[in-house]
Amino acid sequence: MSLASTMEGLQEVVNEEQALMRRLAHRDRQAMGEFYSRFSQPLFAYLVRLIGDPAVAEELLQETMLLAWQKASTFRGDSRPSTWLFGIARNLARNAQRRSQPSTVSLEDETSLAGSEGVASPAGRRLDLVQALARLSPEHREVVQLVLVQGFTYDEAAHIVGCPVGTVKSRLFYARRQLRGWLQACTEPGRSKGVP
Amino acid sequence: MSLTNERRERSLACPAGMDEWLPLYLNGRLDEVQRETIEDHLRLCSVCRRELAFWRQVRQAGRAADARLPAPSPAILTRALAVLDAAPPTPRWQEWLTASWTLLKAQRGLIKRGLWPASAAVLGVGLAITWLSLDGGSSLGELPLLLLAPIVAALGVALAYGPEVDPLLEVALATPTSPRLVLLARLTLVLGYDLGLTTLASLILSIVAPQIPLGTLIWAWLVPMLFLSGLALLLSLLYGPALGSGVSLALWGSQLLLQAPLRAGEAWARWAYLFWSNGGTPVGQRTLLMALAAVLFIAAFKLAGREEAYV
Repeated sequence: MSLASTMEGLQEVVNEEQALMRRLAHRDRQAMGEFYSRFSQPLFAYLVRLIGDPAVAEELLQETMLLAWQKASTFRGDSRPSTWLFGIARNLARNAQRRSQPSTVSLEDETSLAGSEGVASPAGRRLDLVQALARLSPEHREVVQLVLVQGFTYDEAAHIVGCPVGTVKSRLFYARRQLRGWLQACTEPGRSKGVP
Repeated sequence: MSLTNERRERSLACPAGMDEWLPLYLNGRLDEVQRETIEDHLRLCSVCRRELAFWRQVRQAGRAADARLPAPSPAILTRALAVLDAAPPTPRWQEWLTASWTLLKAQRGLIKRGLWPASAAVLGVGLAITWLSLDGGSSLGELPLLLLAPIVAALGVALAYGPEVDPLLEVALATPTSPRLVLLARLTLVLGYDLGLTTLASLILSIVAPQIPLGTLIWAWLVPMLFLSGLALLLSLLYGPALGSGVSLALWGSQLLLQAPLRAGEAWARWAYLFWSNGGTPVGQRTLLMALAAVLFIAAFKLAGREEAYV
C-alpha cells in the first residue's frame, strides 16, 4: 500500500472509529463488541508493555472498555477515539502502578520473543532489536511503542502520556540514540563496552 | 559511517525537521506537502534512507514482539458487560469524604496555576488601595475592593472548566468521576478561594474602619460575586470562556458606569442599577439576584450533566 493511500485509509479508519464512538454513546451493545475487536489487541499490547504483567493488563483492559462504554457520551471528538482510549488506559495503568509494586517485562520474556531483526557481530555476538527495545527505560519504550508501533503522531502521543510534545520527541530521539549505539557497539569490534 | 559523521552530513543537507518527520512518514501521518518533500529528499539522501530503514526495523521489532504476546482473554468483554449490568455500590460517607478530598486535590492540579497568585494579587491590591483611600467620603459601592472582588471571582470561574481552557478535560471526563463532580470540584476550589480571600480582606477592612459594618461589607460583594460567577460559568460552558468572561466584565463595567447618574439622583439609574445602592443592597434586590445566581448555577450543572447521559 502506498503512503498516499495509507493517508486516505487513515481518514477512513478515523471516521469508522468516530461512528463507533457515536454508537457506543447510544448504548449499542453490538458496537461494544466491534469496539473490543478493534482495540483490544493493541491496547492489551500497550498495557502489557506499561505494566509488565499480562494478568493485570487484562484487568486494566476490562476497566478501559468499561470506562469507554460509560464515558463515550463525554467524547467530544477533539482527539481521535484511539487517542482518547489509549489515554484512558494509560491513566488506569498509572493508577494501578501507584497502588502496587511496578514490574517490567523481563528480558528473558522478550528474548524468547526475538524475531528476525537481529544484528550479528563479527565475533558472533547478537543483539536483537526486540531485546534492545526491552532494555530502554519504560518512558522511552512507551513513546517508541506509541509513535512507531501504534502509529500515533507526536501530539497524540503527548496527549496520551500527558506530557509536552517536546518531551515525546526528545524521548523518541534519545531511544533512537540508545538503540543505534547498542547495535553499533555489537557490530563494531572493540566497542562492546556498555552493550546491554 | 559513524553516528557523528552521519549527523554532520545530515545537518548540512537535510531539510529542517527531517529527523522528526521520518517516523511519522513511515506511518503515513504526514500531510501531502511534507510527504512529497520527504520523498524528493529521500531520492537524494542515503543517510535519511538509512535512517528510515532503521525506524522501519524498530517498528517491525516492536510489532513482532506485540504479535507474540498472548491474546487477551475473550471473556473480558463478557465480564465488562456483566459489570455494567450490576448496580454500582453506594459509597459510605467516609468513602465519600475521602473521594471528595482526593478529587479536590486532583482537580487543583488541573486548574491553571497562574489563577491563584493572580486572584490573590488583584484582591491584595484592591485591599491596599481601599485601606489607603478610606476617608469616610466614599460610598460603599466605590470601595476598590468591592469593585474588584466580584469580577475576579467571575473571571476565575469562567477559566476553570471547559475544553478551551483545559486540553486534558476530555481525558479527565473519561475517568470514573462524573463531569458534574469535576465541575463542582473546580467551582468549589476557585469560588471558595475567592470567597475566602475576600472575606479575609473584609475582616481586615472592618477592623481598620469600624464605621463599615462587616455584614454590610460582605453582602455588598457576595451578591454580585455569586451572580456574576454563575453567569460567567453558564456562558463559558455554552459559548466558551472568552464570551463568559467578556459578558461578565461588560455587565459589571456597565453597573460601575451607573454610579455617576445614580449620585446625581437620576431615577432611571436606580432601576438599572442591579447590584447595590449606596446605602447597601435592598433586601428585595439581593434576594432576586441570589435566586438568579442559583438558577444560573443549576443550569450550568444541568449542562455539564448532559455529558454523562449514560444509563
